[in-house]
This record gives sequence, C-alpha cells and structure tokens, in this order.
Amino acid sequence: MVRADSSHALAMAALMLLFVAPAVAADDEYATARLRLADTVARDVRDTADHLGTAALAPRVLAALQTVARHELVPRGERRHAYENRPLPIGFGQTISQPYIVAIMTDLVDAGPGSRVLEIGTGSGYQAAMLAEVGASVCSMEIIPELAARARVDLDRLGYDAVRTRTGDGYHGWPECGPFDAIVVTAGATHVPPPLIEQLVDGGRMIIPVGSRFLTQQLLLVEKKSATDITTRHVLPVRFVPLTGGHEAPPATDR
Amino acid sequence: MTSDWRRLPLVSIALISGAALGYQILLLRVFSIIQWHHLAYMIIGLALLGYGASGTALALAGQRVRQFSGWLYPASLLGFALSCIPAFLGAQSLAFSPEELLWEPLLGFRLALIYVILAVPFFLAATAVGTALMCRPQYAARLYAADLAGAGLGGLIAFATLYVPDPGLGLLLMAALGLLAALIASVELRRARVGILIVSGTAVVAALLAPPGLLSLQASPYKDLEEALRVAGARIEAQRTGPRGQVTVVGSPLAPLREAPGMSLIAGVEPPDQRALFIDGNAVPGITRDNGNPEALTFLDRLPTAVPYHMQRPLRVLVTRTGGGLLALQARNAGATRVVALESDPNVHALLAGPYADFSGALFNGPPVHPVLADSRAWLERSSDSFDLIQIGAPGGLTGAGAGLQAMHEDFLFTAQGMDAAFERLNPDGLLAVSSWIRLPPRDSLRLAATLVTMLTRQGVADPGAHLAVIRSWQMATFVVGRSPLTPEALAGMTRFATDRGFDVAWFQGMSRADANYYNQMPTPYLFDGIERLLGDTGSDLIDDYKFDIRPPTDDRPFFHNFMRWRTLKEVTGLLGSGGMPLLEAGFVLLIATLAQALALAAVLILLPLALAGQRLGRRQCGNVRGRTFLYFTGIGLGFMIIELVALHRLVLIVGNPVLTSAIVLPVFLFAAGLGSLYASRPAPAMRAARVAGVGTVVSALLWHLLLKAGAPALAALAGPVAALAAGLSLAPMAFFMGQLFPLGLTAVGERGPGLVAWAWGINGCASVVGAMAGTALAVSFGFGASLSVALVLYVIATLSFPRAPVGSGAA
Repeated sequence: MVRADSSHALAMAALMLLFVAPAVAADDEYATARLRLADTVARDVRDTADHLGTAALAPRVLAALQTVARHELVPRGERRHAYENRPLPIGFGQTISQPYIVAIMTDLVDAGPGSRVLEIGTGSGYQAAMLAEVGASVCSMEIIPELAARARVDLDRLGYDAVRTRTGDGYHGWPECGPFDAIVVTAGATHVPPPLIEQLVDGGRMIIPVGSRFLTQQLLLVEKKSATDITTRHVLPVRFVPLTGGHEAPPATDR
Repeated sequence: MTSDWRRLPLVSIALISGAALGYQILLLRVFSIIQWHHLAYMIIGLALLGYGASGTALALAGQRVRQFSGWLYPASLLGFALSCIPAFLGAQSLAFSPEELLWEPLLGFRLALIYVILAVPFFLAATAVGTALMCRPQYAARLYAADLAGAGLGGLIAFATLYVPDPGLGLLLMAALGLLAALIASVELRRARVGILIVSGTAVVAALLAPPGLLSLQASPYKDLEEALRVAGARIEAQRTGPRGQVTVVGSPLAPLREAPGMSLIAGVEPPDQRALFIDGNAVPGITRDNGNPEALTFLDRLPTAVPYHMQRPLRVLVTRTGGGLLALQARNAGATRVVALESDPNVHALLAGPYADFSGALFNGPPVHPVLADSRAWLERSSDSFDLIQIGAPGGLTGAGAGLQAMHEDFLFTAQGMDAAFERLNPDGLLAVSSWIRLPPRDSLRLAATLVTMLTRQGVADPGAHLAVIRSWQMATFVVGRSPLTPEALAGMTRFATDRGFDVAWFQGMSRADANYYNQMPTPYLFDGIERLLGDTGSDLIDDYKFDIRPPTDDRPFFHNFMRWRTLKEVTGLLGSGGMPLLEAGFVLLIATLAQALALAAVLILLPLALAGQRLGRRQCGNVRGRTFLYFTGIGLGFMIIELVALHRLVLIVGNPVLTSAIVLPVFLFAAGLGSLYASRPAPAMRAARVAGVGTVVSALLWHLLLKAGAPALAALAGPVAALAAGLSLAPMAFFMGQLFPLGLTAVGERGPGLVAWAWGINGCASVVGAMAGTALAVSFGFGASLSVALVLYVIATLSFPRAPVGSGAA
C-alpha cells in the first residue's frame, strides 16, 4: 500500500509539474510583465509631466495597473503582447487601449474609492476593470452586443462582478446609474452628447480620447463646474514641444 | 523560334497594355474602398515593380527567351488573365490596418507578401511586352507605340467602368481583356487553333469554378462605414458608385447616428435624426432631417460655423463642398435668401435631391438653396457672382482625425490663391468663414492662419489684422475674414456668440491674450500667439522654427495636409515607443517608406542581371554601353513619370475634377507619346533623332509650364469638358517628344543583344515606379515647378547618355 501511495503521489507530482507548474510559471511571468509595464507607464507619465500636469500617477492607479490581468482580456492570439504598452485588436474593429492611455485617463478623471463612473464603450472591459480596481463604482455601456457579452463574462471571471454593464447606445448615458462623478468615453465623436453632460455632477470630469483606434492623438478633459460653466483642457500624451527652443510664448493667465 | 514573329503582335500588345493599366487603376479604386487610399497607393505602387522584375527575368533568361518566345508570349498574356482575380483576392485576404504596422513591425512580412502577390499580373503583362521587344528590337518604335496607345485606351475603359456599381466587375473585365489578348496573340503568332482551344477552355473552366459572390469586397473592420454598420439596427439605405467614389448612406432606427461638429458643450440641445454619409467607407458630414420645425434645428446655431450669422445678416451665402448639406441647412435656417451650394460629387447631389429630398426638407429642391454640381475652386475662378458670406468647411474628413493620411492629396481650395479666389467673390462688406480642426500639437489651424494672412497681404490689404477674427471650440476653430475691416459691432456680436456657447475668442486685433484661452484650454493660447507673430515681424521665423510644416500652401504646392518636416522626423521617431506615433504624418511617411522600398528593390532588380549574366549584357563588346543604357533608361523612366504626375496634379486646378482630369489627361498623354514613338520608327540617324526629341521635350515642357502659369485662370474659366480637352491637348507636344526617346534608345541598344534590351526594359520599368513616387514626394516637399525642373534635368542627362550605336549603323 505504501508503495501504491507513493507511486500515486509521484504521479500527482508529475501531473502537477506537467499542467499546474507551467500555469503557475506563466502567471508569474505575467505578474512580472505587469510590473514592468507599470514601470514603463510611470516613466512615460514622468516624461510627459508638462502636458499632463502631474509627474506621477495616483498610487491607486499605478497599483491597478499592476493588478488588472490584461492578458485575460485580450484575444488568445494577442496574449504575448498583453503587457506591452500598446493597443491590441480585439475584433469587431475595436481595440483594447494602450495601458498608458488607460492609466492617464483614469488618473485625469480622478476616479477613486466612492466615485461613480460611467464608461461609454466597454470594449474588452480593461478600462472598466481599472476603474473598479481604483475603487470606483462603474457603470459601463457597449453598443456592440458581441463585445458587451464577452466583456461581461470576462469581468465576472476576473471577479469584477460589481461592474454594471449594459448593451446599448451610450448617447443618452445611463441616468438610472448616475449622476456620475466621472465619465470615460473610449472613442471620440463630432460632439459631446448633451445627456452625458447632464448626467455629470457639478465638479465632475469627462475624458475623451481623440484619434483613431490605434493612435490616440490627444485627450480632451471636460470639467463641469456648473450647467453653464464647462471648460475643456487638451492634453497631449507625448513629450513634444512643437516650437524649437527659445521661441515659446509666455504662459497664459486665466481670467 | 523568331520565325513566329514575322507579324508584329501589335493588337495583343495594345490589349495587354490597356488591360494592365486598367487593372492598376481599378485596383487602386477597389483598395481605396476596402482599405485607405494612401495604403492602396503604396501597395499598388510597389506591385508595379513587377514590370522591372520582368526585365530582370528576361535578361537572365537571355537567348532562351527568343527560343521559346512563340509560347512564352501568349502564355504570359494568358497568365495575366488568370492571375488578375486570384491576386486581388489573395491581397484582400491578407490586408490589415496600416496603423497596426506601427505597433507590430512583423506585419511587414504580410505586407511584402501582398506586394509579391499583386506584382504577379504586372510581371506577366510586362514579360509579354518585353518578350516582343527582345524578339523584334528593330521594331521597338511600333511595338512601344502600340503599348502606349493600348494603355491610353485601357485607361479610358477603366474610367468608364468606375461607373459600374460593383467595382469588382471592372477587374473581371480587365482579366477578360487579357484573355482576348492571349487569343489574338495566338492568331498573330500563327497558333490560332491551339490558342482558341486553350483560351476558350480556360474561360469556361474559370466561369464554372468561380463561386457566387467571388468578387464581393471585404472592407477593413476599422473603416468608418464598417464601424457604423455594427451599431444596432444600422443598415445601408442607399449606395451609389461613381468615379469620385462609392457613396453610402447609413441609418439606424435603434441608435440614431448624430453629427454636430464642434457643438457647444452648454448647448443643451441635440441634433435631430440624421443619416450618416460615407465616401469610400470614410465618414463625411451627413444628412440632417428637417421636418419644418425650426426648433429641431437649434443645434445649428450652437456650432462654431454659425458665428458669421451673429456678426452680420448675410443674405447671399456660398457654401463649398456641401456634402450632406449641414452648412447649407445652417444658412437656410439663419434666414439667407440665396444659398449657392457647391458639390462636386454627382451622386451626393443626386441623393440629396432625390431619395433624401423629403428627409432633408427639400434642401436641394428649391429656393433659397441653389445646388451647383462643380468643384469649388474651379467654380470660384469662373464665377462672377458675389456673396455676403462664403463658408468653407474644415478639410480632412468628419473630425480631421485622419488628416495626416491625406498628405499627398492636392487641395486647390486651401491654397493662398484659392483663398484669393474666395475673397474676390465677396461683397464689399462680405465675410469669408473658414474652419479647421483642433489638433495637438497645433498644425492645421496655424497653417490656415498663415494662409489667410498671406492671402490678405496678396490682396494688398493695408492692415490684415483688422480683417481677421477667430473663435475656437473644443474641437474646431472658425476663422472669419472681412472684405472690409471688421466693425466693432461685428466683433461684439462674435464675442457674445462665443461667450454664450462656451467658445473662446481666439484672436481679433486689440484683444487681450489673457482672454484667449479660458473655456477650451490649450497648453498656451497658440492661435493668439501664432497670429500675432504672423502679422508682426517674426511671422517667417515662426514658420521656419516650427517643427511641423505650416507654410501657406500655394497652387504650386497645394498640399495643405502635409505637415511633416524632415528635421522633426528624428525626434518623432525617437518618441514612437512612448506615444509619439500620432505625431507622424502617416501619409507622407508611408510615401517615403514606399519610395525607399522601391529604390532598394529596383537596385536589386537592376543589378541582378549584371551580377549573374554580365557577359551577355555587353561587357565585352563595349565598355560604357551598359553605363549609358543605365543612365539613359533611368533618366527617361524617371522623367516620364515625374512629368506625367506633375501634369495630372497641375491640371486638376483647370479641370476641377481629379477623375475627369485623369480620364482625359492620361489617354491624351499616352496617345501623343504613342504617336511620338511611331514617328521614331522613320529612317533617321538615331543619335540625332534622340537629341531632337530630348531638346523638344525640354523646350515644350518649359513652354507648357509658362503657358499654364499665365493662362491657368483663363483655362479654368472655361466649361469643364472644354477646359479638360484644352488641358489635355496642351500636353500633346511634350508627350510627342517624350514618346520618341524610349524606342530610339531601345533600337540602339538592341544592336548589342537581346539581353541588353530586356535589361533596358527592366530599368525603364523600375525607374517608372520610382519616378511616380519620387515625383509625388518632390511635389509635396518642393512644389510642381521644382519637380518639373528635376524631370527636365533627367531628360538632359538621358539625352547626353544616349547609348550610341556602332559606327555606321542607324536606327531603322
């Protein structure tokens, strides 16, 4: 019996080595890659401090970047690129955004514990997971039914079951879920839907990336002081000054 | 086997050349629909190196070509016919988003595979022509004349097929022309029975094997149209095809599509029901429902483009590039009594006046709107009408997000002279309103500011600053230029309009810098600073120092959308890994990348025969003949394409319509060159004939350039088809001389051996491909005048390098 037990244990150990150990090793690799990605993003934020208005991400955003399993949200064929700082195709002509852009969007809207955030365009669910990870209460809408269903499954699988999702047109927002402290729009349009402005609380922020699926040209940060006092700020997410040295005009004074 | 060639295969040469050019034009069209124009240009441009590759292959095959030419020639034609459709389908299945290439360089291999697949039909067509030239070099002039005339005819047929609703059918037609060429070739080479059997058998098998829907186009999932169609309930309501593109109207009852470019964030109103409009799958301003209730259109007054209506009461309004009619509707809603709406695409025009007449509130069906089917710049040049307001919408698509992709598109409206033409159509108190998208780092808006300041200076305005004012929303800047200095009342109206809507007054003379950057904050009030400098003494310093090219475009360099500067490229390249990719002007970068690849491949294709079959290429017979052959055929290949491109771009200004320009200019150019080639077949000393043709080319090109410079406005004032014909005929003398040089050179080279003929054919093919790209790059960077100068220098070099025939022989 002893002999039988030990051979059983040996077989179990072999099986562990064969199937479980590689999975653990892969998880470790992903965790390491995630930390490296967070370092890369932190460095890019430092480099673009002049444009972003901050030299560092909020610690909770950085922690979320180190936590959210991006490889679980991308198509299997793209997993090897999951922790590269780049957008990836997710099907249906959509992409999972570049982690750097997701991180600064999360940071710029000041999402954190207790804040209520609306996301227009769930996509892969990565941005929603980041928002949930920083402690926000998230309502996310997706117009493409297949993507919405897939994101729901993935978010549940990763334990983000508190993220509320809905399939439908984001133009009219989600009044029952609001009002919102922040709104994250994942694709720019020719105008900002008035219902979204209405569902933003006074003092709330909205962020909109401008550009194409693979290239974010700039970010538009909308700040609502009141229904009649809304300002925007254009943010260039790259270290670049268009004038050669010595000709930059003095900074503007707000009135 | 040269006994097969007692009869020259002129008809089949003409047919295959026509089919190949038609195939090229239609591929460009189809790939513009399923992909993007700039990528289509790159893919097809490189695939044309198949021409060069055929020369290399023939040179390497040497004597065997002559031995088997009786079969090789018709087999190549048949191969072209059989490869046309599979090559297109293969390339379509491999296509991907060009932006993805920036992130995933390994996709470059897939791109290379696309080039190779698409090069096959061109390789086979060129192999057929090259074989004929190798077997009968003494008749090069007549063969080349047939080649050029056939290409001209093919161009005409291809343009005609652009009207066919299914663009795939055009490709099929070109394959059929290839089959016909193979059939006729078998008759010409006395293999009629075998030929008829093979060709008809092939046609029957192909027809039986082709599955239904074989040629249905698979567009990239990243195109605007595909994205819109994924919206719940979205469906195509109407689709029309024409030479200007495929026009598609999309509606969705479940998730209505809405557009309101740059609308105020405190508008509190929504646009009514709209229909999205797409040209070749790219979004353009759509069609708005007008059900007669003015309140439903309140959003129009919340757009930045409404500002001139708050500065004056314009009654006579001109709207350029009307598209779905948003600006025309805005004018009608604001109380204009006469609105001339210019639109150059007849399909857009017809959709608005026809199926969407009810939806759009009969916008195009009666006063006050008068729709005019015309190109905006050409119409402004020939009109004598005058207006209280001229509205020019923002260039570069619906949001300007893809503006960088349009670097190679000429735009004669957004040039200093184009703005002159608009300004001169204003009443004494009239306003010109021009909009531009806001991008970071600022590019479009600063270039527009520079263009308008230049225009005011050209118009002799004493104080340009007094005529200019700008407002800025979160997405769009609208510039207002007064024919007279803007009045305090007008400026007060503008300020009220902007403040009520949360827009910034970005600039007017005398305003405070502190007020220019409040609602929509940029890192600095760059428009205020930029305009101040442009109007002051340091304007040229700003333009010189800026890291993007913001020089005002001119008619000689009408590329508003190209902002790339060579000296910035290094910095931008260094930032690619950290978010710098959008700084790249993708269109221009792709052009340069294509040119670099073409140069490298051309070098390989030209040098390969020298390395592997140097003896056959005349090393023994004459030391410098290869050098002269190389210089001569490179010079005329590059020069021919650069001049053809300059002519096509330049004449768009006169004809107004780029498609009509190509449809007329290309055949006239090719037919005239064909006549020149035929003329070269007369008995005359080749050297002297080449010198006369070279000098003739240079002199006639210079005269053409001067004539165009002086007479362009007069020509543009003519009616479209007359202007097009006059423009085409103006090229004929130049093309006549240019067409003589290739056969004269080839005949002289032919006396050295068939290997050298094939090599020269390959050089000419490679140089033509490189010339087309280099010509565009030169024009975008330095202007048409500079491109033409380079081409003429190349012709001089070529003429001086004429590959001399041995003493005592002449070209017959």
